[in-house]
Amino acid sequence: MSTDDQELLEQFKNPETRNYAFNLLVREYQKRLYWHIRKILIDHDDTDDVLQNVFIKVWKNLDSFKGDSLLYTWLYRIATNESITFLNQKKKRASVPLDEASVFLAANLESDHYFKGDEIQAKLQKAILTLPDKQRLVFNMKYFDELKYEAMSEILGTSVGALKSSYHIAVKKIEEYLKSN
Amino acid sequence: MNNSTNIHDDELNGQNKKNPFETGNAYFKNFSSKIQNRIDEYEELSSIAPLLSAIPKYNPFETPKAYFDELPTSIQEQVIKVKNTVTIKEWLIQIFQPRFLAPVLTVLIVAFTGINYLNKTTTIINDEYSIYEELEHIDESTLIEEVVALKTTETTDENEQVVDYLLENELEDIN
Repeated sequence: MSTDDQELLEQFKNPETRNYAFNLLVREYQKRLYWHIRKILIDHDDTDDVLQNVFIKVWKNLDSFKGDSLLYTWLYRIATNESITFLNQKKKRASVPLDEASVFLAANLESDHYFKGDEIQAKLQKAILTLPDKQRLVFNMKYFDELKYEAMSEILGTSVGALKSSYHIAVKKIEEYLKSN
Repeated sequence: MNNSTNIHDDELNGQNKKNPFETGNAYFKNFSSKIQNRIDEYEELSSIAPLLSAIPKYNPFETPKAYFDELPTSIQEQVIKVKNTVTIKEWLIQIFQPRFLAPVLTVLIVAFTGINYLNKTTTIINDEYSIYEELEHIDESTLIEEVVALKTTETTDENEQVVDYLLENELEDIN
């Protein structure tokens, strides 16, 4: 754990500096977590809901964070779990099979006022949306966030080997989609 | 003026030139391998997915204006709301923890006994109060009549008991 994170945690444990430390943490990690969640949920409003829940969960549980992993890995893990849970709940409400999200999320993409990509970017995003949730997650984390497999392994609780293979398959599927569309 | 400029230049060109910046411990040691890894990844991607690797990599999503400026305040507000509900919940959870069980039970027993005692005392006081209150509404002459009648009955009872006693003793003597 970095000294900055260590200091932040110590400040959080002190009731007098707790709010200040939490505010620092939000400012430090809000963008990274937002973009991570946004790539999973696509829609800004959904992302905003989940991100707020993530930070509330962080606030409730930061005292129990032992520092066995990096703080950002722990935060990413919470954000990932919350996003997947949210997505599954939304799919259930819309009576969409849990492993089929592409149509559902593609609709989100098309109605999203905050999507400013050109035609090719929209095509790429649609290709990514054809992937199963976990594979999509792996692809986004590796391709866009450029996270190391070791860090991804800690966040997702999957072995490095499985992640490499998942990424490889995802890349091939996307390439196929781009070729055929 | 010229003199001071010369002094300044001398200081800049002096022998104490030192780089004020630092890198991490193993930054330069790992730098080439980092670059090599990225080249390998790019080459691998290009070979298996030439179309994908040709697409410029950038984030096509946007957020509403000033979203990240306002988010910390919005989260702090949410946290304050949660903080209040959590406090009551935590308080209840704390109370029912094994280490607090003995003190909590003692307090409960003392409270229960106290309340019970207070209830009893209040009932007795209430009963007494109600008797006095009732007496106040009864006419004094009626009360005197009642007391006299009671005394007469008591005397009659006592007389009857004496007669019974004498009769029993006499009978015993005869036998």
